[in-house]
Amino acid sequence: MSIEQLAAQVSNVVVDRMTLTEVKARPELVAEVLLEQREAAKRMERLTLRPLSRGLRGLMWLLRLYVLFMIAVVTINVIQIFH
Amino acid sequence: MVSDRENAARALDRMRVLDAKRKRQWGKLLWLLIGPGVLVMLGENDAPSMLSYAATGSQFGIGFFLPFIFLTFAMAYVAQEITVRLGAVSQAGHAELIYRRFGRFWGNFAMIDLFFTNFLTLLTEFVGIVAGAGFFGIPDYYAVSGGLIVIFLAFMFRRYWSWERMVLGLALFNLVFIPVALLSHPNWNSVVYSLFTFRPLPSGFGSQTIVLLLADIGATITPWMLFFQQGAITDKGLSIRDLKQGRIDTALGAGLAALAAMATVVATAPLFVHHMDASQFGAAQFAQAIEPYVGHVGATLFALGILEAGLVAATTISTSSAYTFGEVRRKAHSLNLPFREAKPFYFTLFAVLVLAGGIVVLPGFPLELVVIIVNVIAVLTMPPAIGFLLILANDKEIMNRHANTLTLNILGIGVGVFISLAGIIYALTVIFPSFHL
Repeated sequence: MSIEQLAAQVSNVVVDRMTLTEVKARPELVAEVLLEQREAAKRMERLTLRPLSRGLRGLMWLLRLYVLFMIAVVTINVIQIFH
Repeated sequence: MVSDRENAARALDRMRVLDAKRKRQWGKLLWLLIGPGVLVMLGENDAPSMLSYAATGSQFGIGFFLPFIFLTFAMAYVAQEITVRLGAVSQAGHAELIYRRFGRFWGNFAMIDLFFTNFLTLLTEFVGIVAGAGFFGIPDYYAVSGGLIVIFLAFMFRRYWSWERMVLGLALFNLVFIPVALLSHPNWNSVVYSLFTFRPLPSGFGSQTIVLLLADIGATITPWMLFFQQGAITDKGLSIRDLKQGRIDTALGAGLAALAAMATVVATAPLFVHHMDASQFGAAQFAQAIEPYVGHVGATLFALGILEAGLVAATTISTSSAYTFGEVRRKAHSLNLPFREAKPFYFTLFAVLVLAGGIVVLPGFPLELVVIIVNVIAVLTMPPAIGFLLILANDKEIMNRHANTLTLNILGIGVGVFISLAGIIYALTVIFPSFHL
């Protein structure tokens, strides 16, 4: 169903006056409206681990060491402030 | 994992969006779709951030830092726009994508960074609430309790949409710093001159200046923002077709937040002009110190602004922690769910809030030290977060044709390099105290 068709179907429902209970009572409409979201979620479910090249893995380790180093620096700074 | 109620609530929101699109009601459409971007940007104008801006204005006046703040928000836009695309394309949270694509080992590192910085930041939000309320003579315990009640009330709606509108209304109060700036009667020629020239420059970039520089960066770009906005985009149900409005939302948020931040610098600049030493000031003291220049109304607005900044950020930051916890543990995580259907989500949310609030009222808690250091830590944990963000944004299996372009990659890498270099300069000033740029 195209976005225009879906929008047309939705517009016939008088959206502004609909309550959550009324929407819940129409699961077929909910399924139709959230089709894109459901398809994306399915696609994500199929995702597996990304192969990491040596360079990328090295970069990630470098960034991790950067954080650890900086935490040590902040600790030194806090000690300096206290003194 | 997704309940009927959650789906129905999201579908109702989506139907309103589709209806507005069909009727070509562009104003209504924008109203329906703005939220996550404005919330994340104004949420990041939190108590320690406003305090950093106030310290900047009082120690350096109107000059280099005014356009620098604008620049940091431009960088924040670059990072946050990626989360809009990631959220809309994948309909998954940031933590979920990190775990799926990088595995538990790297995912755990990212989560430790996030929860650590989030909790420290939450502490400072309550410091802001206490300081803002302190201006009105409200004791710490009542300030924290009152803040917790307001935040809890926001979560009682059991609808993302209602929660978002309430917090959005509260967040817009951040703009209160603009009238405070106007009340300080700034020299507009100097403001315009500094905006376009980055001048006058601070006299030497020593340790104190670098810490403020880093705190101002940390006041605009932090890891929680990535997790929150992507989670909110997913909870709201924004789709690929809404990317344009998502970008407008983020740009609008960045613009408003930059205005409020720059206004705070302008509002406290009289302290610099009158050579008042504000280096040890807390939030309430700033409000009292600027009273001779902005009047009682201005000082009151300033204190209220700090209080509001703490409230909004406490709400958004605790939500980002709860979204992330739900994504990682594969538990229901949506503001569209009632408490009984998402107990771990709400428990995480409320537990971190109560714990942070409780710690802040402990006697002898080093309030000012935590406030100064928290923005610095936030910046220092940002490079790996930017790294994950860029790798995900270039992941064709997730993004398809919405992957980063070369220009966006250059901008994104530029932001990462800039933040990393700022951190290295900070490290140099700490390890070699005599180091100056």
